[in-house]
Amino acid sequence: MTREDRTLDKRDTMTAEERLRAVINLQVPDRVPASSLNNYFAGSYGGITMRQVWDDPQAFRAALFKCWEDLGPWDFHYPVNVRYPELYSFVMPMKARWPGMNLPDDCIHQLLEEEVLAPEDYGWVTSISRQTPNWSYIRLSKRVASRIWQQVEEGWRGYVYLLPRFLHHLATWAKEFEMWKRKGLAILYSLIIEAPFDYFSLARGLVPFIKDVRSRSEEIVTATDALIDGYVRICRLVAGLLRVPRIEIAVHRSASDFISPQTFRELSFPSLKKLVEKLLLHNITPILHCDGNWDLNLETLRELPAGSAMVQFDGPTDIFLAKRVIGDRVCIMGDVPNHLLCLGSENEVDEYCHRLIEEVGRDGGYVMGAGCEIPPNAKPENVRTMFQSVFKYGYYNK
Amino acid sequence: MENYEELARAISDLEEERAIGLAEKMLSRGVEPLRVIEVCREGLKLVGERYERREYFLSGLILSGEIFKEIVAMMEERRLFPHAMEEGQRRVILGAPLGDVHDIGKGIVSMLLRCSGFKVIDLGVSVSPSEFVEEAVRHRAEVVGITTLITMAYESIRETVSGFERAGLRDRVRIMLGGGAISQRVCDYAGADAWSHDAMDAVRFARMFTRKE
Repeated sequence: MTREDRTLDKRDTMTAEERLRAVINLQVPDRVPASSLNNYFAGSYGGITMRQVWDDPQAFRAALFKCWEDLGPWDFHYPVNVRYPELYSFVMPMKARWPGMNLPDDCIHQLLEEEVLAPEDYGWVTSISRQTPNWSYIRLSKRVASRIWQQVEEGWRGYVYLLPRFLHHLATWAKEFEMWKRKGLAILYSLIIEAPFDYFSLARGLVPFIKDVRSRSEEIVTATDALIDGYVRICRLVAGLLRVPRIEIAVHRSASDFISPQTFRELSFPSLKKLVEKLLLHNITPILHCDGNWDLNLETLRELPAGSAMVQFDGPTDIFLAKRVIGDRVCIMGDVPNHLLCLGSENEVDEYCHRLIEEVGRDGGYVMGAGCEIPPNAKPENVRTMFQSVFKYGYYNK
Repeated sequence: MENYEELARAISDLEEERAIGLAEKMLSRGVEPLRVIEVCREGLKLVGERYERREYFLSGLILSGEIFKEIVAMMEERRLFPHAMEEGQRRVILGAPLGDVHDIGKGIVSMLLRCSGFKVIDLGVSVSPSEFVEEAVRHRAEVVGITTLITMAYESIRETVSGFERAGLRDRVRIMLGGGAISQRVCDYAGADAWSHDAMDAVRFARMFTRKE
């Protein structure tokens, strides 16, 4: 395969992988790249059910490919469909309802706010992290999976159940990654994890966790800090096996929609920063997926090492403010709003994307993308307009 | 002599044990339960003001609501809760629209409305348009709140608003929307009256919509 084969447009002078590395390093690439968190939309556009998106990889690949051919191209493959729902507990430690299981086939999966971990689990996490630091994250996630799924038993039998599924999941993703790489795409990351503080927030449930923040803050800080080596271990393992040296860290519960900026600074950010720094020591680039409104936390994010991470915003954050506050420190991705993709006109999407490219994309360090996931009922013409905007407005040497 | 201000301040400072202790003492000394509830609401109002000033965030609202819940539970346990008070309360119907089973946002809004003196009829999740209309009629509700996190619920929300129109109730029932998937564009599309991502706004809207001229 020649270099030209791997570029997406004849005007491109970089491959998608080179473009991705350039924006993360805050260098100016040949053009603004586009990323596609495109799971359920690809399913609905490709004519398959939401259940098939999760449990029929072949049908999903075909649907995503149709979407790519008709509405793309985009630069980065953004994988989210974990092969088995039991493994999803390793990504988001929450109970969920799934299409085809306890939701109709054509519904998207939905998370349930219930207590999966108990207050005593902070101490347990600290204790296992001292005994087996490298395996703490796996042990914790396995405990969570056992509490969510009846078939994942406590003790070693649970591992016996999960291990072949985990390997099958990796094999499925490896196959997908190879297919997209052959089409000239870069793979955004190889694994999704939840940031330590946010992991507990999701697994304890919002109200109990907010009470914990008031009454058990020291236990939270100790447990989140103790988990870091376990996180790093699983990240190194998966990044190595899939040969993609990037990890997505979801930060779902640290926005000021949920906690104060002071709580973020004192209880959430220390372990997040430590995790980011340790991953960087192992040449793994963190991609932070920051849901909610981060306007008041942006100053704190400035403490992340410069030119070494990407931060994705999903709409509530003022992405133009984010460019001004942290644009010289981290690459920014986002944030074409879901409601605009579903209900807006092509002109409105085009105008918004143009503004993103001109303002957030100024001098590099920006990736075009939807605010979080492209919704299943987005208008296809709007999705196309979003992806096309980087070719229309995104070249730096016009 | 009762120090009502102290109870209100304890709630406003999110001091759970102190607030419950003070409420307990007042009740033991024979203070009218309704008066204790009013003082608690004064405290919650102060919390709301601190939230507006960004001294508190959602976590503060939740904690103060939990304190209130504890005090109400304690009163109910002693059979002191003034249920008669509920008769005259303004009523709000809440629910997640058909297809959406998330209830965290709705739960928070429900708690804030109850703390602010509204009677909340929580229809739960995945509520059909016709159920919203039927329950609003049955409970003589003036306000309906719909919360969603998914864009696939847009049609169901629109259908709900149309349902109120078809039933000839639209001028009597005001509809507010909330949740991560909502925006002005969605509010316009559905034909609702108000929207916000901020749970406290639901209280503000409900007060505005039920204010008697």
